[in-house]
Amino acid sequence: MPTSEKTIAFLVELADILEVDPARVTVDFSFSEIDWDSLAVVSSIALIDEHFDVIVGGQALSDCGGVSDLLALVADKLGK
Amino acid sequence: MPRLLALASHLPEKVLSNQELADRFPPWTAEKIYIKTGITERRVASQYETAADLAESAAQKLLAQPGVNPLQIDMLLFVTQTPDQALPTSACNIHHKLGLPRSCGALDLNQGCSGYIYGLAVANGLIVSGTARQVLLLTGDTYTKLIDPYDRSVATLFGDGASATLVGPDQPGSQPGIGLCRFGIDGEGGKLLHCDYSGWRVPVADQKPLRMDGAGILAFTLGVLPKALTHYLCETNATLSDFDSVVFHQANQFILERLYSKTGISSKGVIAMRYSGNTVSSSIPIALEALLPLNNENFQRKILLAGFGVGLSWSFATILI
Repeated sequence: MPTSEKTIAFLVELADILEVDPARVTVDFSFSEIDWDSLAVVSSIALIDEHFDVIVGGQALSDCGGVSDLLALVADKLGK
Repeated sequence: MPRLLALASHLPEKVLSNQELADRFPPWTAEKIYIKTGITERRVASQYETAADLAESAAQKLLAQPGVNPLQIDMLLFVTQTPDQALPTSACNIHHKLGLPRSCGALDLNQGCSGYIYGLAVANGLIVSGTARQVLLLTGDTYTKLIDPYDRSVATLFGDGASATLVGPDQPGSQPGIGLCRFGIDGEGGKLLHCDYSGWRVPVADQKPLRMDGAGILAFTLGVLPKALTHYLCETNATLSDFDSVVFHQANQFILERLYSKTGISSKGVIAMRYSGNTVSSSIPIALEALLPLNNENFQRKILLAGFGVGLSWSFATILI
């Protein structure tokens, strides 16, 4: 599981990509209001690779319901 | 040993601005498109303007440079994925328009983002083998004619353009101007960047425009390219510190920044696509123009080139300019 420091730094930058107030993007944040357009997907994949050194798929990312799903996806990749 | 003797590029006149794209794709703004892609504008060929026309214009610019003599050119190579027609070879028509000697051969090479390095390798091989003395290597594409203009994932990225490079003999005893070229292919990944047009695999009535799986291409780029680069550096007994500049295919600024950071290239990495977009095989030579002039006798620069993309394909080369 990614460390909390890494997670916090990642979430701040994720908020910027999603154009959401960083204070709102916590582990409990839901992606229900997010429009995963192509730019957001690609930017997020690159951000995940930069912070956690894993590459997640575009569909898998779009299927995440929120930050917790995304972090679980990353943890799953790290565990492999 | 062969080296790059001259370089020129040409973009079509018509500009497709970020504002026009933002008007087409709400709620995107012109600024958002620039921030995400690093592109302010890209050029679009007119309805009857082809990649061969653009390449001919680049070639005319090159032929006008001092010391360039079209009568000394033995081979014309045209790297393109958007030829004029199935036959004859588009390079044959360009050959005629440039007034090249009948004894000069002409060939189209179908490759995309890695294509310039393929072209350099072929030119190098022709010269080293004694088959040719001077090779005019052209690149040109009109990807804007392949895309659905309302596909927002690609409409922002691709621009039309062309380049011309003259490859010819160096002074005896000098170091090779074109070093080791290496290539890689993942044909299974071909579906990630695909266009049916101008082919016979899919009936014409069913042909679809260019489709790109951006996430898949990014995964390929970040997953394959750094390891391939490490392998290339090992094989050439080089480190990144040996190079004065690094020019990767100008896919988009976002990918370039991530790649340059991930591979440790950082400030040596050239990003020069703000006013041209992704021009496919022309992107590397267009970016190389930022490093002109070639062959300054006071300083020689070692440049690492890397192409990657449609195919899926990738390529590396070391050049001295």
